[in-house]
Amino acid sequence: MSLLPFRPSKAKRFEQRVQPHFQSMYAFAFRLTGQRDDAEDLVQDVMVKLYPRLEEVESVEQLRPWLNRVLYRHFIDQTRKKGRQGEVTVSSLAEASDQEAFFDSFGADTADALECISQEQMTDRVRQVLARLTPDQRALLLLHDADGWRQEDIAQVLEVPVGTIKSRLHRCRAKLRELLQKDLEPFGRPERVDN
Amino acid sequence: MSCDLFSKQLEHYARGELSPAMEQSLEMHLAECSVCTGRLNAERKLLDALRSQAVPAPSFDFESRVLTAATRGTATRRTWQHPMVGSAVAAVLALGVFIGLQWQSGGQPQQALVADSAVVGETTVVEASAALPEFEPREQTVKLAFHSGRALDDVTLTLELPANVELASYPGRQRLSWQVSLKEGDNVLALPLKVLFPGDGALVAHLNDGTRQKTFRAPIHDNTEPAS
Repeated sequence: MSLLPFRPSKAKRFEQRVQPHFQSMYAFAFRLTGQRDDAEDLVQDVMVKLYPRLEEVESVEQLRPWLNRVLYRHFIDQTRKKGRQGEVTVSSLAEASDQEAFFDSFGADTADALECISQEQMTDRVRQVLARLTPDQRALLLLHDADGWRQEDIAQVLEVPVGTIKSRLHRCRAKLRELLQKDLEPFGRPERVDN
Repeated sequence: MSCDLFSKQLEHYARGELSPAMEQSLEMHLAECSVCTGRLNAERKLLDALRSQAVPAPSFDFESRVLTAATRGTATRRTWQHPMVGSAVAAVLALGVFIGLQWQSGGQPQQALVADSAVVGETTVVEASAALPEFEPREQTVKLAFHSGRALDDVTLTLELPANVELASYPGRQRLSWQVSLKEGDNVLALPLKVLFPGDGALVAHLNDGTRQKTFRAPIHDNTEPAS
């Protein structure tokens, strides 16, 4: 007598395939959204979307980057929808190329004020300034500089060339320094007054 | 090496992304330039600050909730996203209608009837279109109050609705979960429900703080009689 070959249920197969990636997806989602609840909802939305596509999920060899790509696309779709509804500021990294010349014009002299503050002050100010970046500027900086993602991995998930990631990172850091510098200037920069 | 050239490589140097030869070249410049040494210190401080921006752990039921939602095909929201629900919660928190939930009592999860004197749910019909001969969906606000012996964060509130009822802001969903915080004392939650068709049923609320779960059952009566 032979035992019938069991195939796990669809739910079980799905769980076995995707659950090992939940924590890394959540971490990525948190970098995108900046909020724990939103990050959890984002992962959940993606999984609701993928469950009917189990066969496709099972056919993917490199699942983690694939899942993160799906998550990122879903996040962008959501952000655009909300943007159309006037709920949030739409991320602008994709449109940032025209800002390159502006950011590249920043010299290292902006570092002067940053040298004088303590590590605790810097950490606190960076947290505040990060919140003023667009979601994908913030995510890019933190994925690379805090979470240690390689530029190649980020490029794979965002589906852009590595060179684009390099230049975006440079611009995001310049933007971060600029905002920090502005915060450290006691009276801000002189404003033009029109008579 | 000039200070300009050093500045261009600064962020890569601070992150260890340069070749050994380039690193050596930069270090020779650093040895004789206090300005660039200061800039490097600032960049390292910035990098340390970025590295300290940790990702908080997800909620305890994150993975199970995601799997449940995926296999059921319906997403549940953790946050009170609908302004009607959010404002209702805020508005009624001060009122203090009681359901006798005692977190410190311990023991096995219990079921309690909202209609009991110690466990009271208040039901208010907000709108009913009884003048129509055919049943039309009507809205009804159910208030649930939870009494907690102490303040609790990260409590999962799960609502299960009967088939003929949905939460006004979440059409088509019979089970919803949120992560909530309970203050010490009374916490009142107003739920704007929509009764889709006649029938009695029960609204079931589960509260789980990660180690204990309490379950409450609030009867929802069909009290709409078509007018003759």
